[in-house]
Amino acid sequence: MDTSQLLKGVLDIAVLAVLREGDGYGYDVVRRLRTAGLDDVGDASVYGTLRRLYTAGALTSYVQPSDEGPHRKYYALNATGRDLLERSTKTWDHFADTMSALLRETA
Amino acid sequence: MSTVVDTDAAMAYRERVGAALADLPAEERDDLLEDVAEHLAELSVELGDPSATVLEQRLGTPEEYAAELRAAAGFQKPASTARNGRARLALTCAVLSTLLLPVISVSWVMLSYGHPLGQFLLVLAIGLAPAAVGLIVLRGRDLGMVARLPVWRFGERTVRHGAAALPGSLARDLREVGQPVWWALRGALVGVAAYFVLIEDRPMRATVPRLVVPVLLTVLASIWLTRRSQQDRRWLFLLVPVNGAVLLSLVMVLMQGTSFWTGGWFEFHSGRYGW
Repeated sequence: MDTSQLLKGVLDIAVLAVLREGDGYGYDVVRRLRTAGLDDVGDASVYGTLRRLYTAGALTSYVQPSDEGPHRKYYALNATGRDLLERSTKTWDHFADTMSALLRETA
Repeated sequence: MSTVVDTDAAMAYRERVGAALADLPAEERDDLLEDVAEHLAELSVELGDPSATVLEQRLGTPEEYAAELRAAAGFQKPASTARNGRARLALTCAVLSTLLLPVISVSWVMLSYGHPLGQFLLVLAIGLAPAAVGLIVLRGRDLGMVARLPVWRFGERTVRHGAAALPGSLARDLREVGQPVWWALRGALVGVAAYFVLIEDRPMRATVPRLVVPVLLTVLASIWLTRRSQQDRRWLFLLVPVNGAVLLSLVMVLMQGTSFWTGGWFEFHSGRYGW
């Protein structure tokens, strides 16, 4: 099954989870999601998701110069973001359990 | 922030992404493009000044990238060209009515003898016909697709900036007091005009008591229409041309006096009253 369709619904949680481990700039978040095994994640989707979560008030941001070249805009979870992640995790757990049970039943 | 995209390929890529996002409000587009610049700068370091082909292999075409970015950032897809065409046509129709109705209704008042009701209804029908066509073109939809047109956004921005340039209290007074006063005044003017043009087609006399009922009715109708247009913006297709007609006849009354409404202007100038 094409995981990119599944990813669309859960990219918010994935991005929030990555940022819980530490602040990150856009491309860093892309890399960390890929390292975590989400190979199909699109670069632009991650940048767009970060921008939307930031606009929604779930993230704060700050700019840091880097030695290698470009300035980087770092994103960090704030209280709203942490709260959102907590609630989303519960929803996800429930959904995943339900789906797993359903798939086992029908297998 | 001073992220620099310095390779030609990356710069061209960013430009095409920008073009694909051209329909977004400037502020939001600039935010997204800032991210794109940062992203391309990171890739330029990682891939060592990639060519356009390498960038497209890695990210898809700039248009695909823009669509993905826009969807993830929660912005609506751009309206299709056909939809935009319909929206533009509908807006043009509304503008046409806004010009046509004032001109023909004022001309009719000036040129018609006796102001028969049938003629008046015909004038209204002709003046509002383009707006009606506009509503048909919209196929019963709300004005959302008109409101997303760049020209509409430009108009809104201009009005907003104009309002922001006014002193704060004046802008608030205009909104809170000026608007309701205009709704009532518009109704009253239509009522007085309808009375003199259609019912008592003679120069104004002391008929104030007989004006009370028609004026009250048109004031209420005017306010009701405004409320409706706030709930369903399609009513603006009727309201804006009517506003135009009322404003133009107000100007005429200020220039000619109330005899304008009773056809005296034409009769005077055509010499019917003798010199």
